[in-house]
Amino acid sequence: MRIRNFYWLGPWSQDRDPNRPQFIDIPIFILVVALIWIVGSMGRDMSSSFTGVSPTIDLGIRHIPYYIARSTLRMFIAYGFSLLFTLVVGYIAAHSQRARTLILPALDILQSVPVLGFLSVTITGFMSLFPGSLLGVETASIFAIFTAQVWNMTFGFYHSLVTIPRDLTEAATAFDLTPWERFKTVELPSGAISLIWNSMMSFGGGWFFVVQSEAISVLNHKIALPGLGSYLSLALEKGDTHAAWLAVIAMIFVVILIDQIFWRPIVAWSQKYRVELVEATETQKSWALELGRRSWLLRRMFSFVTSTFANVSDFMMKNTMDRAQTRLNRNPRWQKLVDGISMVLIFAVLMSIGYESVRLVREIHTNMNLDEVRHIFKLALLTMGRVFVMVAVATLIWTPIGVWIGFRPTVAKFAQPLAQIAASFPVNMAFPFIVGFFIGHSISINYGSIFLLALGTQWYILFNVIAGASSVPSDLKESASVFGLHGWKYWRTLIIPAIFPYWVTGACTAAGGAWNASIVAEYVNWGNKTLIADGLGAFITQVTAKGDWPAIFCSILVMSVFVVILNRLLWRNLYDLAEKKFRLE
Amino acid sequence: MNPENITELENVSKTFWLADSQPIEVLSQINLGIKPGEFIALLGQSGSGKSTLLRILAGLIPPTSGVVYERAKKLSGINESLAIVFQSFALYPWLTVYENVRIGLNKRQLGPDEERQEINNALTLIGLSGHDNAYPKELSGGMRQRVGFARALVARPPILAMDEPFSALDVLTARNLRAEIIDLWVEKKNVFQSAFMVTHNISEAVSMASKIVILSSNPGRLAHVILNNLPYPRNEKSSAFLGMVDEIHDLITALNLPDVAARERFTRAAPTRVENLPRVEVSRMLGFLEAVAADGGRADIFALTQQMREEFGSVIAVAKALEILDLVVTPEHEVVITPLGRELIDAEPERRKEIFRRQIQRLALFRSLKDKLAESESVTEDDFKEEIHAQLPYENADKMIDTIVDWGRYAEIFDFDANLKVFTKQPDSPA
Repeated sequence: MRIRNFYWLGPWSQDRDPNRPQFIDIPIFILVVALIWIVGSMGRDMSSSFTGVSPTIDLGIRHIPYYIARSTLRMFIAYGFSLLFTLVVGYIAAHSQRARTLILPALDILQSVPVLGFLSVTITGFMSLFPGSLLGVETASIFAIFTAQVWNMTFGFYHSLVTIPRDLTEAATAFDLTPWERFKTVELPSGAISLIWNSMMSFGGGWFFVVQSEAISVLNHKIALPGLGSYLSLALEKGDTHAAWLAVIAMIFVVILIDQIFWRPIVAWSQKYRVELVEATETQKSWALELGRRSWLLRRMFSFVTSTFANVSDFMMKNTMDRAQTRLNRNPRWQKLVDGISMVLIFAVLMSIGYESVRLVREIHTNMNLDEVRHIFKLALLTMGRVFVMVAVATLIWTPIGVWIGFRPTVAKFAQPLAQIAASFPVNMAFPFIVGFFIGHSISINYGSIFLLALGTQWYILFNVIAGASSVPSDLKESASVFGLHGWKYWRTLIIPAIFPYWVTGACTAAGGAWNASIVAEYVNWGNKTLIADGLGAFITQVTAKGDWPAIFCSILVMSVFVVILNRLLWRNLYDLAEKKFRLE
Repeated sequence: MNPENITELENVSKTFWLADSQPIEVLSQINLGIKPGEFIALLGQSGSGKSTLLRILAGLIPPTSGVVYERAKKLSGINESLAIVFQSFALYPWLTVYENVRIGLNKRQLGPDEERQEINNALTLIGLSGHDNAYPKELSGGMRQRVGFARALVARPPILAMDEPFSALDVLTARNLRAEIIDLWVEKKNVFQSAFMVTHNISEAVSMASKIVILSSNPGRLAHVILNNLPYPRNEKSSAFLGMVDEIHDLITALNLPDVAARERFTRAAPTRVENLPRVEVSRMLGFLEAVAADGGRADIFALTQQMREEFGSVIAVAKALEILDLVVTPEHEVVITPLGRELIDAEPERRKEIFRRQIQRLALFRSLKDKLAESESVTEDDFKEEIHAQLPYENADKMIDTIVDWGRYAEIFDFDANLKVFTKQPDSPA
């Protein structure tokens, strides 16, 4: 029998009265107060003054909680902005034909751009925005996390808005809901599950960027933001293996903690937004949610926060969204005006993009000769080779394992959340240790970097293969057994076609992530040794450190072009094939 | 073990252990053999374990206890004597009709020419010629099931096993395909020696099978075996045919709704007996009652089933639920509304609830839940589930909880919080 009811908390939970404070409210109250205090004091520290000298990091073990808190706060701030962006931009893209034609291609390209390559560009920009304050660097780090999370979330939300079941939207029209009412009663709830799921995955991916963006050398400056990433990089620099391991352990702890007390409860709670009226057989459970639901204090706070939020947003949005809409509908002059403004805006955006690109191309043209550009292309091909080898090897290794897991529902139930947590761990924290191994066994980084790429991105292949295998209908498996399909024939007839659509999703995500990770994986430090592979990722890291702007722009441009072209030519076609031929309805 | 049998089940039982719930015994002590030349139809309500029985016979799942024999040998792995036609067709969407049928040839090692010959023969036999290169999703349900049949037939199985082969098809398509399969069977084109079909459709069983086996529910046991020697082609309007259908109806009704007198003795003499509540929603019970009342308060359950176009088993479940609440009685295969049932149907919504509440509060499970709620603020679902399991070890406690929640909510005798999984008192409950 599973322990589900927390009887072990003692006799007070036996006759719990939901309307009275419980024992559990005492620790929860302490936690809430502590949390508010931590966030407040961290916020103060974030805007401390910065005069060109990087803040010092202390390797003492008692400072680790502080660094954990700083890194985590960065994650949540970035996530907050991502969420806001997702809701606004996703909503606009779903509702305005004109905006959509601009937003969707932009998202597609932004998704393909190597975020890490931009870090140095954005840091200098944000530093000039907040002179004399550390807030500039802080913002740049948060921005890096934001850009890693947001595109995927926005796409997901847009997609769930345009695929809302017809009857739901028709009912909303029939009951004459205003746009705001429609958003809060139909659109947000129907998108909730996918939004939360995407949020959890993107948030997990964000840790990588926290670690990467905290300790950075830009334009020959070394800046370290207080956080776990900086702690680790200092520990490695000083050769303090003990402290380095502490940082890794602390990171594992944080990833698991946030998964358990933040995401799992939200995922379990969001199950009520499933669109089907049939109850799902596989329910998501969270011990933290069940515990929280028993707490009088949390329920009070939750209902206070949600009702306040609902009232405030009702008040604000009714006045903006609905009134704007009625004005638009009633008055053709307004309509024309909005049309005109948006045309001008789109024109302006396109013009400035055009101007900037001309300027960039000219700058690249004047500062770089053909040989250098050719060299960059050659490096891009090398990195592409690594990405493909990584995808191929990861597929060969993880497909049988994923299928084995997916065919066993009980194993899958345990393996899925474990793999999710594993995927959230920022593998760049482990790179230096592995590089130490490479050096010790004199393995060339040209090949070793393939392994580093795989560390972070292989999970997407595993997840999707598990999901694909567990969705193979049992009658297809049974007919394969009855008609005696075995071995390779069994794989060829049933398994490979059935998991193919899922594999495409996983492999495409893994490949996209690998391009980004190449910036980190092809250029790695171990103590005072640096290993540099021949590849575009290493090149970008090098020119960024030097501050060679034309080379930075050119190499990032080439990488983006490679990713976009591969998406269009390879992955898009594989998606279409999967959709047309291998879909199980 | 009988050496005549192609394959045989001996004392086979099957228990499932579902996560988070009590073990459920679906099949108990089944003895069944299939001889050459037999067409066996296995009849049972949904949930009676008939598909499980087929899967055990096919070697797809092992029995919990008992033995499966194939040609007098203990079966290990897949039963080579069977090819299955699936209810859901189970075709590979990425393979063409031709390639799907070729899967059936997998075990027979044939050369490419022979293979082509066999597949083309099967496609012609089953009326699929010309569709070789179509994909399943381009075909209608009836055509897809023909592919399912062709795939099973090319395997040349001694036994053609069918799992509700026509129930996913519309009525006309099903009738048409059924007639063709009967023709294949009668003309003995040497494509299969014996057949084993799982179905819940009584006239389907009577029109096709030479031996009809009726499975009882919870757990499934072999209740009756009826030999059917009506000559083919069988006329569904003939009195012999209708007589057999009626006989089977009575047998199934008697299995599920034991005679009033016998029941009365049971319940009145032992008031603490815990009733097994069938999973029936209140709205269905009221609708059924309305239908009986509209027929003058007395109706034939078989006729009602046809009128409602529903599965016999699910209609019987509704009648059973109403009988537990003393709203109807069921002499033989009739349903007769009781004075109380009549009063309920004629009453206003509030009064209806009152009657319903009074009736369910007489049931042991509701009484015990009420007692528990009188003792404490709330009762968790898990606690109550354990109690149900202690009282009714063979029943699915989860389904029972669903029923109790549905009935109790309608009667407004308690509240159930689906998030916390606890029963609480109704704030203004007349407790």
